Amino acid sequence: MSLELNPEFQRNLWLHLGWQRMMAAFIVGITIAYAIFLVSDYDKVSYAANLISTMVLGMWGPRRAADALAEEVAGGTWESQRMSGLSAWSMTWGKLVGGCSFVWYCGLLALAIYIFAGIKLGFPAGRAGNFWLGIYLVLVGACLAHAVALAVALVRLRKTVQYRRLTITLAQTCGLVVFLAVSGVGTAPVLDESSFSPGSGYVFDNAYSWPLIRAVLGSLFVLWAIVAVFRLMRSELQYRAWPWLWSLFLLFCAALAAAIAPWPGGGAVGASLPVFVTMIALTYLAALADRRDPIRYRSGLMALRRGDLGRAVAELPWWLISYVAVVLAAAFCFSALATMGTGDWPSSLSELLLRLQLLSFDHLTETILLVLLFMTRDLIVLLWLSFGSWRSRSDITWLVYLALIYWPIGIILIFAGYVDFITLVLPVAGENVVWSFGPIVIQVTVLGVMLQQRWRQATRGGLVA
Amino acid sequence: MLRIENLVFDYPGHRALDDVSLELAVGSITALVGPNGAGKSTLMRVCAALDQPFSGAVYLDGLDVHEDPRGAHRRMGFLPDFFGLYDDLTVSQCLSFRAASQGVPAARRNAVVESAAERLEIADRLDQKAGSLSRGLRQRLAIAQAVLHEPRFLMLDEPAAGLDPSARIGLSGVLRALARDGMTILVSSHILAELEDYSTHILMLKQGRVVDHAPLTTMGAVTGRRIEIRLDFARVVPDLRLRLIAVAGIEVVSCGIDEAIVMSDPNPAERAAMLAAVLAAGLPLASFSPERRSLQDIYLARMKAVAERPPLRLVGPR
Repeated sequence: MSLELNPEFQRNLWLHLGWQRMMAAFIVGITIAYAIFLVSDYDKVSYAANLISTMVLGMWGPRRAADALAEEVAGGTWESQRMSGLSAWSMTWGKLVGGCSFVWYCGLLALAIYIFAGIKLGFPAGRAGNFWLGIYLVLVGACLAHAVALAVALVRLRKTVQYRRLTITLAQTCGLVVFLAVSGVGTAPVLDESSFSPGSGYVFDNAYSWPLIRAVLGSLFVLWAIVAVFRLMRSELQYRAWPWLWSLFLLFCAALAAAIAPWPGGGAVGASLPVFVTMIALTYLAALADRRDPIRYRSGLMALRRGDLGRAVAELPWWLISYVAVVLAAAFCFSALATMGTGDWPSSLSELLLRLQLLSFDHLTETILLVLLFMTRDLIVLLWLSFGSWRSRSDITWLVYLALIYWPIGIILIFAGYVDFITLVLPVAGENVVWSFGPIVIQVTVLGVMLQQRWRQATRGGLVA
Repeated sequence: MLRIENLVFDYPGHRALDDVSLELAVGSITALVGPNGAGKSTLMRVCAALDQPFSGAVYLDGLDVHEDPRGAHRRMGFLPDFFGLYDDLTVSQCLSFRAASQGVPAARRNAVVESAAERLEIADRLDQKAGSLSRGLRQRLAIAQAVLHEPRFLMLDEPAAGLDPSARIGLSGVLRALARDGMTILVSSHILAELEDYSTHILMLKQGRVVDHAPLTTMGAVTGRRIEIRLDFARVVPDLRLRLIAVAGIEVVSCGIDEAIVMSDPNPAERAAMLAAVLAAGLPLASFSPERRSLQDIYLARMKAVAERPPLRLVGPR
């Protein structure tokens, strides 16, 4: 039985990995390395190879991964791909590996030169405190960066086929950020890596080096990113999308947030607060990624009314699942705070909260409630924007709204000496319950009514059976 | 072949397809016509399982295309209005990639590629890059890609857009040949004269609803539930209109000095009785045949007859 190449991978090899390009890249790479060696030493060769591999795998790679999809859409070939018999899995890895095949070729060439120089230098510790761990982090970071970039491009594609350059740049930026976070380049002084001393993190109160934690977490997130691309690709192929994987990802992130606390010995409070914050971040992220299509929401609601639970669950927006997770995490926080004895505060957490200056330990429960209300308001604003004529610009409008409402207004109030009014714009509970909750309750109520009107306009009367 | 049941498709604030139900006969070429925004492209995309309907279903050979989109894609081909090709690949590579992605085994792939290239008359261009082909040849390559896996059902959205007259004639020939091979075809186009050339059926859409769906042969003569009959006479007949009216059961639509168009019941027995009555009246009848109107005439008449409605409200499926 002959081994058959994935057609999408094969097509990408035809387009991107011709022997002329491979030869040219090889000759250029070797020439540059040799030239650097001639004018300096192996140390500089190692540094240059490291820098080039970072630029190729971390900057160019995510761009190519996103472009593997964006160029199909722009070129009008995406629909014929969707009409082909290729499975979602074949398309996922065909694009991920095939679309970046030349990037991988150049990146691995640079890493090979880096390893060669490393052999000559006796395997310097490098960015991770261990030569081979550093290389592993670059490879994992590149895999994660490419998968994240393709996932971002897929998410953007589901919302709009316009703004190709913006989509690619956004995907590239996200890819670069995760690459730097995993590979550790961002935390190491690039010009003098030998002075970098990796710190430690705590996993279930046990200390491990951050590079090791990044290697393990990076590997796990690579798997999740590939699953995300596969799942988004299935949606593009019109397969019914179940929300179980997203729910599982939330559980995974909650477990991570509870396990990897920036402060050791936090107990239940120390574990529940990071989970709460992580779930909030994921809710905002899921809301931003969702298409927020009122027709799909209505379809789900009508399926629920008909008792068609399969379709109703398939149409469930991910941010709603995350929202429920936030509420559960908040309940866990309440319970942890209620059962906490005096003096149970982990000192490192206390320091963190005190640094914020605004947070009173006496009103932490109320503050968590306020956070829920503020998040609800933000989600209502996003839906209100999405159901109207600004639908195509709702993402960017919402981000501007968030930036304006949480940052400059709060800063102005503080510096102007109106700290008592901070509850108007930030979820920080004070002594006065009415003053703390009144404004946000009014905002949520008014915006809720406005959202209902928008919903009726978008669906022309809502659920008329 | 293709059965559509109560299809409803909504965009926010706007219903694009409203309770569309129809069935396409095996081996037919159906011309999908309608004004801009009638829902033609949306209907095709939903049938191709590229978009999910709000309600209703599309069955291809009994298979629900939205339950098993990949299964449906193996049975159908679709050429969207704005199609693209991999310009840097050769024609052979384009076809080979398509064959592989449709699951054609490697052992059969070369034969399938050659067969598709010959069918679309681009066999002499196999080593040429797709980007260097003319518009007409690109169209042929795109259709070759769409039919390469021998689908039973093919959809083409505006396939003749941008083609010169000779390329259009070539396209008509290609579509007729595919239909002769047993393929059922749905073609959307604004060029009605060209559709008339090869279509067997017409499907008219307006404001997301089916206005008409019938064989072109009967639709050309049918007006409502009755058909128009053209009468030609061997010589000038004085007072032709009065003499025709005198024949029982004849309703004259228009009348000249040696020709007339009259209304008749579509029932063949009724038509036979009318013919006998005209001959019995001593009129010098030379020919008696259903009146054929151009597709454009039919289209304009039907679209005019269907009154404009206010924008569709989004309501639940009936």
